[in-house]
This record gives sequence, C-alpha cells and structure tokens, in this order.
Amino acid sequence: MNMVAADLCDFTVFSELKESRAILPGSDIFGKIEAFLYFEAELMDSHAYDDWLALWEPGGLYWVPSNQADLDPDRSVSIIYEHYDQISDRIFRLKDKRMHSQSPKSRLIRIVSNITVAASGGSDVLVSSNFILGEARSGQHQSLFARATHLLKQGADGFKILGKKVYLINNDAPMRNVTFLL
Amino acid sequence: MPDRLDIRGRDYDAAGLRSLVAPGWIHSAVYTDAKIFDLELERIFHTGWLFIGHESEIAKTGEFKRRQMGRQPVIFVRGQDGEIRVFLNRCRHRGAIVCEVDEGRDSFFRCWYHGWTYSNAGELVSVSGPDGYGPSFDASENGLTPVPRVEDYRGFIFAALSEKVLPLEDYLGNAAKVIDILVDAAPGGELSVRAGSNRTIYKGNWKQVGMDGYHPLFVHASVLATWERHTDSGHSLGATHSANPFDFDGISETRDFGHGHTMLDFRKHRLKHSGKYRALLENTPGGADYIDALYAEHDVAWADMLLAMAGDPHVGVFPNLQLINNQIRIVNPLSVDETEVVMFPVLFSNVSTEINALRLRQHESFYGPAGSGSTDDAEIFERVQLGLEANLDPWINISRGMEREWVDEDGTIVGHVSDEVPQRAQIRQWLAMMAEESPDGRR
Repeated sequence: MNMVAADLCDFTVFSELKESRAILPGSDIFGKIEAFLYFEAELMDSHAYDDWLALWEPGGLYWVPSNQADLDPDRSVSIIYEHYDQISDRIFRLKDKRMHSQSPKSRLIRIVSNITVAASGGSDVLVSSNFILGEARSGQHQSLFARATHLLKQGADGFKILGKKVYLINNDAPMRNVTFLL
Repeated sequence: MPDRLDIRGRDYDAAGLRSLVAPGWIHSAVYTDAKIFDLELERIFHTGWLFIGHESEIAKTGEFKRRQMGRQPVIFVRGQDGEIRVFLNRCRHRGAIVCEVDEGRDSFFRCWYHGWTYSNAGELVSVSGPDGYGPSFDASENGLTPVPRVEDYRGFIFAALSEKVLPLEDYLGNAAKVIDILVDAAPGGELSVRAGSNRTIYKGNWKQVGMDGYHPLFVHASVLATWERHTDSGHSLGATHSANPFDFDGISETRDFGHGHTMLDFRKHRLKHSGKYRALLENTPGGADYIDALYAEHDVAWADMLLAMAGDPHVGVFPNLQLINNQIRIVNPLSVDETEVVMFPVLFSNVSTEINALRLRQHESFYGPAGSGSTDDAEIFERVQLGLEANLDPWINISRGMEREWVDEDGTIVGHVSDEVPQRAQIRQWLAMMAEESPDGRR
C-alpha cells in the first residue's frame, strides 16, 4: 500500500511519524491547524477550486473509501482515490461548464468539529476531524456526515495537504452524486 | 409520429400496453406511470431471468450476499456443501428477513424474532420451543424458500422467480459470446469480484440505464476534454478509449442480440488502436506476464481481441446486468422514478496487484458517486425524468438509424454506434414480457 494511504488508515501504525509528540488544544500550533481546516472548508463550500488545489502538496493523495472506513486501495474500490494529477483533472472538470452534475452548482455549508491531532513527527501532523455537510441543489437537499483525516506538512508558507481521507458514514449505502469537493 | 395519446384513466391490458410503443417511438408513460412500474415488477423482475451475482463473490463456503429481485429480498449464498443457492430472505414463520447484513460468512441464518434457525443450505435446523408444534409439523417443509430457477454462465449466476423461463443459455443467446470477452481476459478465466462496490442512486426510471452510443460527446464533454488534456494518462480510461470511438464517421457499432440484450460494439475500433493499452500494460509490473498468458491460453486472433478490448464487453443483459469497462453493474428499480445502480469492479485472480490496482483506478476515474462520467449520466437521467412529465406531446423518439441498420449473419441487428438500436431492442423485449406470450417462455 502507498505510504500516505497507510498513514491515513486507522489500522496502521504511522510509519513516517516516529517522533510522535502531543499537540494539545489551546497551543499555538493547534490554533493554526484549526484555522487551516476552517479555511479549507470555506474554499470547498465556495467552489474556490484553484485556491483549494493550491493547498495541496504535489504528489498529495485524496482518498474517499467505499463500503468501509479503511481498506487496501490496491485491492478494494474507493469512491475517490486520486493523486495530485488526477485531483488537478477533477478541478479542470469542475471549472468546465459542461460538467452537468455541477451545473447549476450545489450550495454547500459544512460544519467542521471534533478536531484532534492524532500524531506528529518532523514537519508532518496527522489531524482527525468530523464534519456535517449540507448540500442544496435543484430543489433537493442532502446531509452528509463524515470523518476527515488530514496529513499536513508544515512549511514556510503554512500547511500543505500531503494526504486527505474522507470517511462518509453512508459509504456502503446507495448515494446520490457527490461531485463537489469533500 | 403517432397521434397524441392521452393515457389518463387508461387500462393497461395487452392492447393498452401495445399502444404505448410504435416503430421508433415510446410513450413517456412507460417511464413515468407508477401503474406500469408495478406491472414491470410483476412481469419482468418477479418472473424472468435476473443477474444475481458472480460466483467469486461467495467463493468460500458460508459466504453470502444480500440481493434484490425487484421488491423481493434474496440471499445469494454458498452452502457448507459448496453449492451456490438463492433463497428468499424471509423466515418461514412470521416473515422477518433472516439475513440482516449486506454480506458475511456464517453457517446459519437465524431469525431473531422467535429464534427459528436455518442452515446455509436453507434447511430449518431448529425451532425454539419445538414442543409447541404438533406431530404434523414437518421441518423439512419449512426451509428457506429457494428461488425456483438458478443457472450460471461461466460463473455469472442468474435466477428467476418463475419456473417457466427458457434455459439461461437460450435466453442469453449471442450475448453469451461477448461475456467471454471479460472472462477470457482473466488468465485461467478466473475473475475476482471481491473488491467491494460503488452504490449509486438517481431519481429516474430504471430503463434509462441503457446502452447509448449517441450521448458521450455531449454528456461526457468535460471528460473528453480532460482526456485530450494529457492523452498519455495511465489513470484514465483514455487508454482504452483512444481515438474517439463515438465519432459519427467512425467504425464502432451497436448490436441487438435479441431478448433485449445489447452491445456497444467497439471491437473493430479497438483492434485498430490496441497499441496504447498494450503499452500501458507493458509499463505496469506484471503486464508483460499478463500479455504472455493471454497468448498462451488463446489463439492469436482471440488474444489480439482480448487485449484490444481490455476485458470490456460493453454489453447489457436485459433487464438488470451490464458489463461495462472494468465493472459488473446491477440495476435495481426502486420506484417508477428512482433507481439504484451498483457497480462492482472486476479484478483478475491471476495477475499482479499492480494490474488490478490499475483496473480499480480506471474504474474510479469514471464511475461511482464521485466519478467523472456516471455522475453526469445520473444528472441527465434526472433531467429526462423531469422532462417526460411534460406529456402533451408524449412520444420519445428512438428512430435514429432505423433506415440504415442491417442484420448480421448470426441474426443480430447492427447499427452505427450512435444509432438507437439498443433502445429499440430494449423496448421490444419490454413489450414482449409485458403484453405478449413472451418469447422467453415465461408463461
């Protein structure tokens, strides 16, 4: 399994994060992590596609498993399993007016909460958060409930996303389109 | 065009049903009227052959999956004796489902209402408080109800709730040969359908999930633009769809095999463009071995074809199965305007992990609830369902290619890939099962 994918799995030991140290709520760095997640949520809700893509490290992994919270992506299907180049294709399509499933666009609001820093080492931090996402589009609405796991890299110009996994709790049930950013 | 036909208060006897279909035309009530949907469940989904699952999904004894046959919940299970069976998921006592999880592995199914317990071969093995039943109670008459007909074609298990259906191979007819394009593409013929699924849902009639080679240039315009952006991307389906296979001047075809089975036939097109997929395989660990295995197991012409087609028959088996790209797809009608589509990526047992991972990535790029392609299909199906409610001019035009289609030597009707040969095939079988003494022998 890809190393970033392994870090994002609950069942694996964080192989890259050996110097694990606690980052507690109230600390300066915890506040920066919180602000980053809220900023990312705002970009996704407002369809600021290029700005969101700019949050990613080249080589980053965007992963939404199917059927369960954790799986081996080389042996089981996911809903999204994309590295930076494919994420970039996704953004290219989202900006194309002929992406019918986002024409008109969904109106989105998400509430991000329950942020905890699961592990850290070097410049990397592994962050867990929950979100509730409401979507309204074409006279219909749906609510999605999920846990996000971010592997962030801290650099001179703030955090970048090395990996992000979104576990939708209904990922084993029939789902309507989720073509907006998760 | 047929005359406007007001269906308010109309009876759907055989004549009424026939009046909804004319050469090249379908009345929108076929897609919007809940009374017709109820008849479809009774006469198509609760009578004829349905695809249930692939044998590899329940490879081990005791493995089971929950499936639907129309409204009827069933269990697809391999018994302790190794036999594959399909049972109605209903306790013979008071009717609760006895299998409440989507999948698993167990020796028994227990009803937790009063404790009746069945073996995974369906026998009633214990009743709580047996003294309460008199000597006339016979456990052997109270096993799980088997679905009357279960047959398989090369590991694809089909079942029918009526005894009176044709033998499966007769029902599949010439469609069986194209299923071979998928099975033979797996070394040893061993498919592995154990990689989970994408379950999607859209607000539209189930018959909209057909075979259509006319829509991609429009519905999937944004995807085609992405493929053109970097034509060498190994993670898209672009490698198997090189040079536009849907071109109006191209050589791709569509086929009507009879019984509503249809194919978008890319064989000629892909044989001319197989180099790109071969190159992609050769750059994937295990790819050269995979190519060697195809040529060792099959004659050169068929191996060439298997490689060109990349295991993609692009066939629809009426009414609920499609084999498209790397997936088995099951269509479950939920109501007249709501449909579930379950997509199971198919892996090959005897190839490298990297080739199977590539198959998964190709699938995810286009399919599933966040994929680039099937999401736009779902969006358009919903727009169609809304539009069909406007029924002063109620006729849907499916005439494209009627004046240029031709009959092949095996009896299949052939048209250009963009022609509505599949739509006409589907509605012909639909009408046969709904209104006639059906050619599949159901009555």
